[in-house]
Order: sequence, then C-alpha cells, then structure tokens
Amino acid sequence: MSAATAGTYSPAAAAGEKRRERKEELRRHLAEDADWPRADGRSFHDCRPALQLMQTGPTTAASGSAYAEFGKTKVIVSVFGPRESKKAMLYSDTGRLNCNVSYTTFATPIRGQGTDNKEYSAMLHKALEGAVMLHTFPKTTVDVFALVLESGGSDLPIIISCASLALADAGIMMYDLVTSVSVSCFGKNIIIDPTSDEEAWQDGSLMVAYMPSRKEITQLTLTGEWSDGKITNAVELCMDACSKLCDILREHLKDASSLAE
Amino acid sequence: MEHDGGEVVTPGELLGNSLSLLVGRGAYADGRCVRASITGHRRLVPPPSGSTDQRSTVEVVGHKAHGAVPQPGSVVIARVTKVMARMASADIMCVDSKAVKEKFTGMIRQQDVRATEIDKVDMYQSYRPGDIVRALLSLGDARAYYLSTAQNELGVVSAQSITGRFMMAYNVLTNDAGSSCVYQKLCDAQAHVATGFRILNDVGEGFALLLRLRYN
Repeated sequence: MSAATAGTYSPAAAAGEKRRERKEELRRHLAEDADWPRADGRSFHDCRPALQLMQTGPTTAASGSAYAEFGKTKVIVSVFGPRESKKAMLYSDTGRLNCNVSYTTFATPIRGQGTDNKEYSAMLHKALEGAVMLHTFPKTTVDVFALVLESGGSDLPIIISCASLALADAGIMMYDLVTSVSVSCFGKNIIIDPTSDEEAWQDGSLMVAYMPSRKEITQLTLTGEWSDGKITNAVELCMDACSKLCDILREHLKDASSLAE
Repeated sequence: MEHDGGEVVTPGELLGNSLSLLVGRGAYADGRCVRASITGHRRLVPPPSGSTDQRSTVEVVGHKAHGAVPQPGSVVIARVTKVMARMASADIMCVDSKAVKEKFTGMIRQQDVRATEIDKVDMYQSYRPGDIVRALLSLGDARAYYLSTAQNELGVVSAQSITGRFMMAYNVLTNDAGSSCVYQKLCDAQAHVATGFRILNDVGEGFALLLRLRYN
C-alpha cells in the first residue's frame, strides 16, 4: 500500500497558497498606507535632495544656464538669446520661446533609449511659456536647450525647474520661477519624486508645474490609473513640494548673485 | 553702484503694494502686488520733487539682464553691410545706448532714407557698405527690422572714404540750425560745395567731413 502511495502523487491543495499569500501580502502592502522604505531609503513623501548639486552658469557661451542633479537624474539647461528669430518664422509682435529637450546617448541604462521622450520639448514649452514675459523681447526668440546627462526618474519636472533657473540666470523677465514635481501612484499610496524604477512600476503619475508666488499652475499632466479622491491630495502634495523647491531655487539664485559681486 | 544696500530679490518675489509703490524696471504689477521679474537688488527711487504722485518707484537692478533687444521706436546704430537698388541692409550694433550681444539685421528701404523727394533717392549714393548709420527702428517684417533715417539727426555718422580715410558726420546733430549752419561750417573749412550725397572735405589732419544731400 505504501509503495502504491509512493508511486503516485497528488498536488497538495495548499500548494499555491504560499505564492498567493506572498502576492496578497504585497497587495495589502500597497493597499495600506504603509510607508515601506524605498530603494534609496527615502520615505514616500521625501524628495531627493537638490541644493548642494545645483549650479548656475556652467555653459559660458550661453546667456544663462543651470545644472541640476537630483539623485541619479542629471540635467543641464542652456538659454540663448533673446536673438533674432529664424527667417522662416512668421512675423510676431511678441517674443518666442523655443524649447528643446534632448538626451545623451548614455543617459539611459540601455544606450539610446532616451530618444523616446519626443514630447518633452513641447511639454517644457507649455510649462514655461506662461511664466516668461514674452512681450519684453518683441520679434526675437529665446532658445532653451535642455540636455539630460543621466536619466534617473522624474526627468521632465527636473528639466522644467532647471530651465526656470537658467532663464532667471539669463536675466529673461519672468512673472515667477516655475518649479515642477511629479508623483507616482501605487495602489493607495502616493510616492513623490519617483526614480526610474518606481516610474516603471507605477499605476499612474501626476506632474505639476507651478508658480509658487503667484499660486498658479502652468502645467498639469495626469496619466494612468487614479482613484478620484487621491488626485486632489496628490496635486496639493505637488504644489507644496514645488513651493519648497522654489525656496531652494531662490536661495540658490541669491547666493549666486551675491557671489558674483 | 547705488544698489549695494538693497536686498537681492528673485523673479516673482513680492516687492510691495502698488498703493504705495510705482513699478520701475525689473518689476511688474500683479493686481495690487508689485513683484520682481528678474534677479537683482531691490532699489527704491523717491518721487521726483514737485510731482503730484508721492509714491516711490521700486526697481530691480544690478544682476545681469539679458542683452539689449531692438524695441520699436528705439534709435539704433547700425553698420551697412549690403546696398541694393531699393534697400540697404545693416547689422544693428547698438540699441539706444547699449551694445547688442546677438546679431540683428536691419533694412533701410529706399523710401525711408530721407523725408523729402523720397522717390529720387539713390541708394548707392546714400550708403556704402561699412557706413555707420544712426536710425530709428520699427519692427518691420519677418525677415528684418526696418530702419529709417528720415530725420535730420539720423543718417550716416561715420564712414570711410574711397581712399580709406575716416570720415565723420559734421554737425549732423544740429537740429535747429538746419542747412545754413552746415553750409557755414563747410565754408569755414573751405569745402567744395558739391551736389552729390557725399561731400568729402579734407581738413588736413586725416579728418574729413561727410554730409548728406538733404542739407543742400
């Protein structure tokens, strides 16, 4: 009898239990407001530190420029002009803002992948055009060139903040500095300033570009899956983070200006 | 500089209330708030004595501002680069009193050279490549800014003669004196009163006079 039992076998009813349990646990984890540690040790509502790795004026040939490094994301933005608009452009009384975002070939772990983000140029333009006083440089163009040296998540928000720093460095008249912060949505949780790994697994994302002194949002991008109650929360979280980031940018501009004298 | 005392402000920062302050350079009004639009030092300029408005003007000065940009109505200094039958093109070098950092192209059309007898203007006799011109700017079209020299105080201010001598406009800035004064000066220098656009007069020290026909 025992030999027969040994010859056959039947799957245990509870075989998948362990796997299911693990999955369930992860789901619970996501469903709770638990604050599990993130890969870089931050808690959910911690942004990556910015101040010490920010710089104005790295590109000497440009009218203004800025470098920003948030965690692994490294961005350099150069502002040229105001200079004469290209001949092919139509006549316009006000100034133009020309934005271009490009990635180095080594920006992403897989070579050349950064070129997927073609819409970033248009989005950067949309985020900045509300803040720049275009009427102060009629018929001319201000060029904003952003180069992502390393892509480590939240690229566009960092490009936007860095570009407004570069515009301020160039002395372009602006209504206010624009800062931008994005959040990722994981189940019930909202994670601020996601890294590229977190962005790859997110359910949804929200990016807000904000002028803190004027309390105006210049751009808001919402993608993916969101339950309605969380969006308001997330926008408020972003706005608060933007204000704090803006204070850091102001501090930096003031330091740079007093150093220059 | 006078800006030393003022605190450093950045774009968007509140400078004060528009009820007590007037908006100056580098600042703008946003409803009742006066805010900075560039990075620099905040400076208060007291109202001119005798003005009815007792509010001071707040400015942001000191830190670098972007290069000069041609604005309609500004007087520019330009260098003529190309002369054609109906127009001359010129590179703008200064806007008002500031040098420009970037290249801006201006165009002097035949009808903008002088105020009278505009149909008889000969571009080749009015301008030569290399001439330095003082002109009034308007925005023009998509291709270039339009420059106008149709005023007494506008026109060629400095040029080289064919022999390579440096020429300078003589008395071009005399508005009220008009042609008689210019003739007088020319006569003093024993000029040949020519009928052309350019009157070249050697006064000895490698210095010559240049004059445009509208004074004749």
